[in-house]
Amino acid sequence: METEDKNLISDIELARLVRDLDREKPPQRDLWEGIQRGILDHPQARRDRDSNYWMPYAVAASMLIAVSALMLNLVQMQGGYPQEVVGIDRLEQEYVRVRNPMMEEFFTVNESLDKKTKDDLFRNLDILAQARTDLERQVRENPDNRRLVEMLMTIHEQELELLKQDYTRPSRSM
Amino acid sequence: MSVAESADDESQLIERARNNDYRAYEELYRLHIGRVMGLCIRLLNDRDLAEDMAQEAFIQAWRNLSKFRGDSAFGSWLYRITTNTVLSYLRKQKHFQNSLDVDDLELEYRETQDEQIGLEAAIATLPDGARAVFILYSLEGYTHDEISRLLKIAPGSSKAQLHRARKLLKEQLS
Repeated sequence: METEDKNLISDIELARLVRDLDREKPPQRDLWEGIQRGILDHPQARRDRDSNYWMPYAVAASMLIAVSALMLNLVQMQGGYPQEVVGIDRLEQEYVRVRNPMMEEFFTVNESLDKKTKDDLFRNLDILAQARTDLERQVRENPDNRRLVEMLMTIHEQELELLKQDYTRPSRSM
Repeated sequence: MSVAESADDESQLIERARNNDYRAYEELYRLHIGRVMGLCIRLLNDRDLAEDMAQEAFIQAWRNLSKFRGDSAFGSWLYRITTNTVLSYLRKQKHFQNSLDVDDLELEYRETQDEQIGLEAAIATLPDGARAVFILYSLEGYTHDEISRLLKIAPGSSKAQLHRARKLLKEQLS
């Protein structure tokens, strides 16, 4: 405790002043707008917004996967997929219903890309589309081959994944 | 509203904010901005800069919400983030680094026009290093070990700065 100068306030008096000090000081302007801007500019927030944007497609894609999985289970249980319940036609139908709106969006979003990048993307899409057509044909010819159905499902997922991307953002890579 | 009810409400806001509910985070901002600003203004002695730092602290807190486990009160966690944000800025300022030098502990405070001043104004007249240590120790409850880690100084230096701050404050307030 300070005792050398009787004119100075005591430690206890100083402690009392500190205790009574108002800890809060309101800002002179509302800072929320700037905070919200900072939050929304963060890559994580952008991803979250993107995931919200893609939610309808994600739901549709999950339905497609459910249809595919059902087909796969029936192949396993019955030794061949039953055409009358859920066949390759239904699977294709579901897939096209999910893919087409995504394809339109994909062209719009990536409109501004340079020609070379666009060509690369379309080449990849063509490769996947060709693989899908080949696999669909093979599934029709070998309806009891579980492995072929699995491969077709994988191709569907890859194609949808490719279409989900916005390649105009610098952080994305192919 | 009781303290327990208030804590429950805050927990719900935190949970909602973790799920990207910006409205919930805005409510948390409104609850805590006064205290965050108080801390920023006292440490920085500059209202405009304090508002920028308060914004940055809330943005940092949002980005780290997933790491908040509820071991301490949300407010305490937020004020620690605020302290780190401000000190991270101050440590890069040469005048602040110089003021932490214990070999240069002049017992001087900034000139003021008022003959009799309150504690708030007296704190503002302290040299930067002494003011930071006094605020962290006496107002925010940090230990000398914690302060030494935050300011990257020896614990002994923190004690010396606190002693210096108290002496200057007593002189100002007497």
